[in-house]
Amino acid sequence: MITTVGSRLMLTRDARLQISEQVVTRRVGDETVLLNLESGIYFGLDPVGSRFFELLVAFVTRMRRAFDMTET
Amino acid sequence: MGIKIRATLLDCLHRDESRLDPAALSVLTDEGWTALIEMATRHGVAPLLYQRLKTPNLVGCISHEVLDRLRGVYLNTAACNMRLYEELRPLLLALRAAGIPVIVLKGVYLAEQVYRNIALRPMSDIDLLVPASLAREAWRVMKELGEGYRLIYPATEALIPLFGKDFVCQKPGGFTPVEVHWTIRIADEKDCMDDEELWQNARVARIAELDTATLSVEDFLLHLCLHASYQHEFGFGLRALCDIAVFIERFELEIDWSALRARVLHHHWHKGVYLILYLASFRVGAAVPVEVLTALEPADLSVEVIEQAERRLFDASTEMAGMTLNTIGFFKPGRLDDRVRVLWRRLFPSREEMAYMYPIPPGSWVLYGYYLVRVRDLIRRHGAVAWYLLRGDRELAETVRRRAALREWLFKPDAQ
Repeated sequence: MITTVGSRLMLTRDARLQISEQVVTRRVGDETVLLNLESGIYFGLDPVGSRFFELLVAFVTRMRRAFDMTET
Repeated sequence: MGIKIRATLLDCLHRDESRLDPAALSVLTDEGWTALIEMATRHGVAPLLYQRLKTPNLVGCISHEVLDRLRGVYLNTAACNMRLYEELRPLLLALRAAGIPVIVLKGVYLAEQVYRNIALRPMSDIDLLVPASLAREAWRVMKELGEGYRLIYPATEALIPLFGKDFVCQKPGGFTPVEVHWTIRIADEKDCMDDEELWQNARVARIAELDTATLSVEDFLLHLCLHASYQHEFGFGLRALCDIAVFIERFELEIDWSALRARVLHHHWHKGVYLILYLASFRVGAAVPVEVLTALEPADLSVEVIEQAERRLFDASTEMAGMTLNTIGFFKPGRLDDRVRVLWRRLFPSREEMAYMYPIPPGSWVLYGYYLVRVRDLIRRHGAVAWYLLRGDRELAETVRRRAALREWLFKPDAQ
């Protein structure tokens, strides 16, 4: 769950995060760009962030496969 | 300062990385950095500058602020191009489903397959080539795709593919205009590239995650050269030189230089092709074989011509709006009757040209009323430049003289 405290977003332990379907990602050199096609807002990840994101996506994909999970 | 900044930018873009002396960067002031970034942005090479400057041996010479600014341009180019490829993919699929073969041209191919990093090559449109016999069908498919593309040029769809060389359209709220060519015309005075040959030589490339067609290596390089020289008369800036240099580096072992040289000489394209290859080689280190340059060198090449082309290359992006070929044609030094002819042709173009520009069928009587609109549009587009030139602005007059001289040299046949 995500709650707000003042102007800050807080994640609780049971929060589920997923990449929006409107978001596309692309590796550009050693950096990564995450772009929301609907809003046009984008974020750039530096090499460390890119590696973290890459590992995160790989981990989630592997877990999904291992437990035969589908998105709900 | 401009000359120094220009030299530093060229060293940064040069394929031989040892050309850049880190000391030249260390002495740049804040003002110098701002000028360098502005110049790189104007020339569409700021992402390349960022890529070069963030290498470990240079990064110590550059402030975080400068790198952040350049990174902003780099990420923005990536995001813009991601949107562009997202629009391109369904378009290519729809054209494929309709049985229309497509060749991807220029930036769309260069960014993914030549630079191999879409953040490095800014693009303002998507260029595609379809067979002339299927151009109208291609437009029908695009019109019916999703919310439907809207035609920008020609204003009258009946002219596809009867007049001009392409149609330009865009999705409502879409991000990128799409230019669909049915022929590759270089300039009115020069031979077109042979459409049949282009299709025969086409090869497969992976674009927007799809196997699609693109020009052969030699055709692609030739197209880059002809487009930058004859079509835009060296006004495309340093990006054109970098495109050529990176393309040659990428396909160094595949380019059949003797076939390319033979075609260039056969079609009398050697002046433009020589000059752009020379500049790419001399300025950014494109690996053009010396024997190719020697074989293509025009007999009447002069230092002045090279200087004019270089000047245009560097200064076109700061030229006053409205400085078009017609303005040059009208104001260049010459005979009065030549000027009157240019003015008449621009004021009263053919009915087909009018129908290309304004949404009226060429056979309609209403079209005559649009000649008044045409006059208004010409005044809007060229009025400011014409006003300054008529008042005797020396700098502008000198620009016109130089551009006219370069154009005359470029299109004048020589003995070769």
